[in-house]
Amino acid sequence: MKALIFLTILLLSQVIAPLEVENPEDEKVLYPFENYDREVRFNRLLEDYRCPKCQSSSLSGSNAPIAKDLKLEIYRLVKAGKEDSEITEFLTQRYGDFILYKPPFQSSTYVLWIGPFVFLVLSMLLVLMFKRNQQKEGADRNLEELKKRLEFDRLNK
Amino acid sequence: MKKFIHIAPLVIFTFLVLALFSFLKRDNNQLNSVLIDKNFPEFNLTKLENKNVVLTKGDISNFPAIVNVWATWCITCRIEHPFLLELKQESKINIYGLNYKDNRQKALDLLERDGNPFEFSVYDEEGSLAMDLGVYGAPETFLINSDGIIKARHVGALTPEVWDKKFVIHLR
Amino acid sequence: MIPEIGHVLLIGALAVTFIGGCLPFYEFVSKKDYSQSYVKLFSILTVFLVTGSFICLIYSFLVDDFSVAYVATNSNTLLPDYYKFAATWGAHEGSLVLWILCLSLWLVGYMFSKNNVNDSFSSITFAVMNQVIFAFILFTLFTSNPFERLLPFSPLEGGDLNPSLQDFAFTIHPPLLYLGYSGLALPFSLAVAAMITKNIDSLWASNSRPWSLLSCAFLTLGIGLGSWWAYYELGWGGWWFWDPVENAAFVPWLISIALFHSLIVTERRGVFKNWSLLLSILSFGASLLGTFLVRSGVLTSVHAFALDPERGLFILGIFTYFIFGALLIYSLKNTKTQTESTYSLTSIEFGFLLNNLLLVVLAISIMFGTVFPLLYEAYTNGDQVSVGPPYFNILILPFAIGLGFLQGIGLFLGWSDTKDFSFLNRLVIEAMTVLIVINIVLYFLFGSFNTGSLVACLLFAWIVSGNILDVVINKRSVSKIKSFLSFRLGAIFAHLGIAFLVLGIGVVSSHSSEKELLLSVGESYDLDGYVFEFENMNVKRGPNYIADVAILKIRENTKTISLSSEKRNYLSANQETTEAGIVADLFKDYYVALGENLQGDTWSFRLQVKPFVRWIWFGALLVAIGTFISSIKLLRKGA
Repeated sequence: MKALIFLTILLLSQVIAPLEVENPEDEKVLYPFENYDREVRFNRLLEDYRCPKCQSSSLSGSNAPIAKDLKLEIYRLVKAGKEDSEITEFLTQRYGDFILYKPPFQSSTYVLWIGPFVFLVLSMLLVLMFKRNQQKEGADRNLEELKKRLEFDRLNK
Repeated sequence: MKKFIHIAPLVIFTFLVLALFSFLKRDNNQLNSVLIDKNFPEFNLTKLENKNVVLTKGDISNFPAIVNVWATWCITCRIEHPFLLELKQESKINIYGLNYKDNRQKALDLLERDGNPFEFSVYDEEGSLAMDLGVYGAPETFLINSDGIIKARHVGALTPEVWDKKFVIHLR
Repeated sequence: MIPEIGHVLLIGALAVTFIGGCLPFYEFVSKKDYSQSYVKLFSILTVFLVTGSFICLIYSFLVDDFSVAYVATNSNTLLPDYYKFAATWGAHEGSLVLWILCLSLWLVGYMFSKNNVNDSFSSITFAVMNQVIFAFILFTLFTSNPFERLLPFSPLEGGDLNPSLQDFAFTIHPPLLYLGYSGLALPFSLAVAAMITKNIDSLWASNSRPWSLLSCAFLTLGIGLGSWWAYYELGWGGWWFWDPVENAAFVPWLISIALFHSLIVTERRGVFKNWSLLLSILSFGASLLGTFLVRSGVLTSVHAFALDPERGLFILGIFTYFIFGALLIYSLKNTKTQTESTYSLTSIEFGFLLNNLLLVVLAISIMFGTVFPLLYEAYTNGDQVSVGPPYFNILILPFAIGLGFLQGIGLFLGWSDTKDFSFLNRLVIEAMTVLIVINIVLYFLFGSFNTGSLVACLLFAWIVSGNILDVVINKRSVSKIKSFLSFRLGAIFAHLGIAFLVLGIGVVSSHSSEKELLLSVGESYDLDGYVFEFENMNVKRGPNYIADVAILKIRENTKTISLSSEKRNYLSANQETTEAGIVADLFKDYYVALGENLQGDTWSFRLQVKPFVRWIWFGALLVAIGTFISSIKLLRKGA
């Protein structure tokens, strides 16, 4: 009980604490943002999009020319206040779904997004069913055993 | 029930192997273009040959045509250059150039030296038109059919084989 | 001459393993006597032949014998000697010889362990192992021969070892990883032998467990080193990318953990036999599948090997032969496995069952996600999609929570049933306390709370409480604590390792600072309280490269730290790499990567401060130590 109260206070403090942090204006920074949250969003987006030219790398982790161009473009879009979905739309219109490291949630990808969950639940059900079967078998066997012993005792009275 | 559990892994495994086998037959190393079956995008850029002339989408109008993305810093482009010249000679198809993130003077010098297969080249210094086309490197070549629709995109040097296999079929 | 000897030795090993792979089966079928003398002899012979072959290859590298095609492609006269040595396994052909060597070492290890009992069971195990080695040697000799010659015109100079591989961690990462991958062949062989000789029992389980643990230990080290190497070599501070090659190692790692946990139950209670058998087959299968994925060209990756469909076909054949074969034997075996023991839903058996389930479903899901782009392209006739870190990070979270929860309560559950649940209250209070302490520490160190790391901190607290804290608090006597520790030392280390790993991941993911910027010599920048000053620019000449070196100073409160970051140009291959400047203290890493020279003395930099990142590899190390301890203990006991 005490523990739960502690935990609630802790969580609340985290929700209340973070305010809009201001970034110092600085010409040195390559992708300057006044709004700290936007900067965090920008950095995250760079990890969510794939470099089209590299074998297997996000925009964040690539030095390829196209990656730099795309970074700059995404920077402009975030600075202009565009939503994530708009930026995704912009990129997929040009490079296709390939550029998304987080595959879109649509009928052709349901199996990917929901599959593991369904797999887990189904296998758990299977296991529970199997256990119940086994226990029933075990109980049946015990009953058989008991019957046999009673019969044996009766015959040998 | 028990028998099922014993056979199931084997069955699943068989499907897995068949799937893996099919993967081996795959032959595609390129990013497929999503501009296929779409119109050429809008743009507003200067002509390489004359920086006072502004080109727009309307200037790419002589269909069927190919649009070739090239640059002086691109080594593979040098390799495909002779084929582009040959293509211009023989098939009479319109070849437009997209000079990608290049230096105007160097580009002009190269065309002077090696020959110019292009009707004209769009000077895309920032790569904005290229980005709208989903370009991610050079060289790349887009095929536009007689209706003005993009029908194919090839990444890498344009060769006779690629021309025959990938592009010609859209030119009926 | 030497390459020819190497080649012949390998052919010799092919012959020996062929006999070794067939003879015991013949004996078994014809019910002959099981003479153990030859299996030991054959094993020693195999390991000598393979080692000899390997030495010939190394020698060719060290003397710059560019008449050997493999050496010519992967080495260079300017390459330092220790990298020439490591270049032996730097590409596909040579790495296969390393694989074969590792398999041979496991074979010899098994034959000489007390594990080895004089009967058909161990003979068949020996036979299956030999067949695996035979298959790999066949593959090598037929499609990937490292001893092929470039005669009569051999080059005077070689290509080079890929510059990003010219690094210490790289020299030991593959051997450790391969020991892990190949080690799983042994539990596999034991399982097949158990099925064939009808010895699916506690003895088999106790034989198999130490080898499963040992393989897992090596895999842990291999994966940990790979992550560590990627961190400082690739230059942007990432340490895990859910890259297909990484997943190819992670999946068998997960399954091997399920395996040795399941074997505990089979050994102690005689149940979970089917689970243990299937996991033995599945773990080696995952190992082979991983090998297939990274060498067949089917998946592109930062790390991919010999992009060659022909070789892919051969590996697929090997994969099919062993796994289909084993599963066939599994489906044909006697289905009447009498499970006498019953256990309740609150028993430790059931806990282990959930553990198995979570690990296997996670492993299969990761494998599915890795190959999904290929399936998608085939199914939609050409549409392409990517599955990357955002997906996998979301996927793993619920599993990590479930597994972490089980790790905390495992110690308190009883066999068959658990009657006393008072531990739950205690654990909650202990975990909350630890959680608050951590949050206070984080606040003092980094000045903020952050919900991002809350789940990770909670898992850490829970696992620590359940594995060591509660015991230390509750067991009154020192001697009781001591005996507890000695009995469960391996498990404690391993579980605590996971706890630190999770904590490190959580904190670094949510408390890091980062900025990309331009600095001229003399300028400085304040990143969240850490002042980075660009002091100077130098040029350095290495043995086979020229580098631009940026020297920086970092000031935090009263401390001043120096570091440097380089941009290296390797002469032979004309490739550029970035060497990040990394300085670490107990709680964080400073990470600076030099970018480009924009003009004059202005350069671009990527500055990062990464809290607790080292705890990730510290955790991995603990896991490895724990699994090593457990396996060595079992081997010495002569399980």
